[in-house]
Amino acid sequence: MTRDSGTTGALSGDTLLRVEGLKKYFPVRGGFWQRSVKWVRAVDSVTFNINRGEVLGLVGESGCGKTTLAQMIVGIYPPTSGRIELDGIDLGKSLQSRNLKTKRKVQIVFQDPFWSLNPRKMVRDIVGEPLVVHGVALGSTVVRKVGDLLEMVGIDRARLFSYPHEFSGGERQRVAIARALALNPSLLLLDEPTSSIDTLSQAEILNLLIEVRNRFSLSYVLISHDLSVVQYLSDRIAVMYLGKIVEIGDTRRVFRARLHPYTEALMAAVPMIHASGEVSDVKPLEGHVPSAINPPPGCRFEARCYKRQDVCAVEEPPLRAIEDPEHLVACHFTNV
Amino acid sequence: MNILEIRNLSVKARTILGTASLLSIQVLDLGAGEILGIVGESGSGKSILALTIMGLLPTNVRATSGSVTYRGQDLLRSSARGLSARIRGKEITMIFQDPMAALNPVFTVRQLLEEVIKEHHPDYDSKRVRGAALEMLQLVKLGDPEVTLQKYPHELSGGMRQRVLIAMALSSGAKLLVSDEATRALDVTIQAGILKLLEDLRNKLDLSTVFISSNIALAATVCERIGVLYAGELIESGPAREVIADSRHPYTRSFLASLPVPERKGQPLPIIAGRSPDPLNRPRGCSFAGRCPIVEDRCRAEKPPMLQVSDGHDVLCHKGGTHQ
Repeated sequence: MTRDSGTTGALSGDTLLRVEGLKKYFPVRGGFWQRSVKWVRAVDSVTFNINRGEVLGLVGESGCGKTTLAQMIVGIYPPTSGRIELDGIDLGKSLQSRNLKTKRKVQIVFQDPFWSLNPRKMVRDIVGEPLVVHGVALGSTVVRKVGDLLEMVGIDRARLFSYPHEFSGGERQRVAIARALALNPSLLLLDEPTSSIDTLSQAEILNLLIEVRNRFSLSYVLISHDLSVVQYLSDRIAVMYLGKIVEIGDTRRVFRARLHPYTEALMAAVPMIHASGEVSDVKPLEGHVPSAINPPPGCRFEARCYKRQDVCAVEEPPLRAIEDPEHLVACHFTNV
Repeated sequence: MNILEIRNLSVKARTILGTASLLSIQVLDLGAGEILGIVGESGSGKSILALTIMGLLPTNVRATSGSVTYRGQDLLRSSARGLSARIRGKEITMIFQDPMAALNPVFTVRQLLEEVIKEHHPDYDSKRVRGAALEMLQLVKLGDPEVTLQKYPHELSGGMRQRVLIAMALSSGAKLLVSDEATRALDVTIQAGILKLLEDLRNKLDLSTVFISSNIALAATVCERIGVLYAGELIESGPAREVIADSRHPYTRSFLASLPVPERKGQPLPIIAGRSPDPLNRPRGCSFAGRCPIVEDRCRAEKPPMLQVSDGHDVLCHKGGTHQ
């Protein structure tokens, strides 16, 4: 396998997570006796780093592989190939190959707190279970620790014995965050953490996430289809298209430069109100994401791109630095 | 000329716990060929408004007073079988958040569309029905309409399904479209296309749209005017750009201030404490009084009046427009 570039991501600082050439191909069986196999290339050679205390935003349309990528990092799916390193230690192929100590360091918060919390368990047990499983606390210390965690996320410890249905959407997401923080992780994967809650609760969750990050110098991988949430929370942003990172760099820089035509299209489609009260106009992106089963041989965005030229259909553009060594773009025509 | 006028509307639900007040709107107008945005959080009454207009309220929910007038005819007064049935579903149609749930999966797009067309145009022969189906798909800008007609809903992407649903909704010759979170499940790039389509249909067919969304930025890009719902009450309405740049209700202001826009990166977002009031037990005074940063004694004691800020910009607040 050839590496697309030297180091993808932050060059300086204290690296927490290194993802190198990560791939996930899902088999699709068909034909006589289900013998013929095609592969869905959900994540295809993704490489990046995350520093300690850094927030990386992952954006892209549905089906671009961002959730699969996050689920490989947390260990839900074993990667087809590639490496995931945390603190310099290889996390191995599957969740089974990780020991309790490394499992503790990577936690996930799911999109919908209505589904991710067991309705038959009290908050004490939902948040306390990881403490017990990992042998961090026992007996009455569990209750005390869970109380502390709840208070940290802004929920009264008197509600220890409440069930999930007694909480609002925003509060449930706080419980999910408290559970994720219970084991003192160094990396949190946030998969659409605010997309099923209201704007006002969203503001509270965003404030909480920033506060917790600063307090424990946590790193986040933030997945969201809401670009305003991503730009608000992320230090760096990675734009994915059909299993590949097409642009990665400092959030403000990527938002300003929009070097990849896909980044440009994605950002132009987002309705946004500025602090001045100005409302941005939206521009749709024509066409559809091609199938990940047989991705086009050249640039994967070629069919929908307005900068398209002959070379794009045959040669896949490498992810390379433009202007700034930390701002990488996979496009043949970044300056056209 | 207004196509839809709502006056002093009150919608209540009978529950085992008592009567819940779900919606209370003093004045809301929709002009012909206008796209009106209705924004608010979940539970604010957006969908109840859509269902009231459509006459699809559940059996325990009823419009207890007021009027919903469509082209001079009160939809709440006319009997279900008479006038209202000829208007609702024909001249007033609706599209939903989840197009897959609204499309029957065992029929092709052709069958789905032709069924609606036949229903509304019993005089059409089969050739004319076919032509009309094709025309509808072209109207909603579906690429390759001939091919799309042969497909089943599951073979289409979310954006294409929503376009098919719009085509079905409009094939009765609808004048008023109610869109309830129709783009919520779509990617932003596809969502922008649906917004453009609604603008396009407005220009081409003079179609009026009630555009319901929880995303105020989204509503502001496509709507001339927006109305903000809070706890079932229309608390502010006016030209979209004016409501956003010069909002007068403390709720609208707080709501806008809590959006994570680029300019606020690195700063904590302001929070409004508390929850919206219980529909079973609405407060005597202003429904926002419990959370309002500029609350006064009279706000807790009496209902605020509808005050005019400027022509077409109204606010439901005792201190309407005077605070800074």
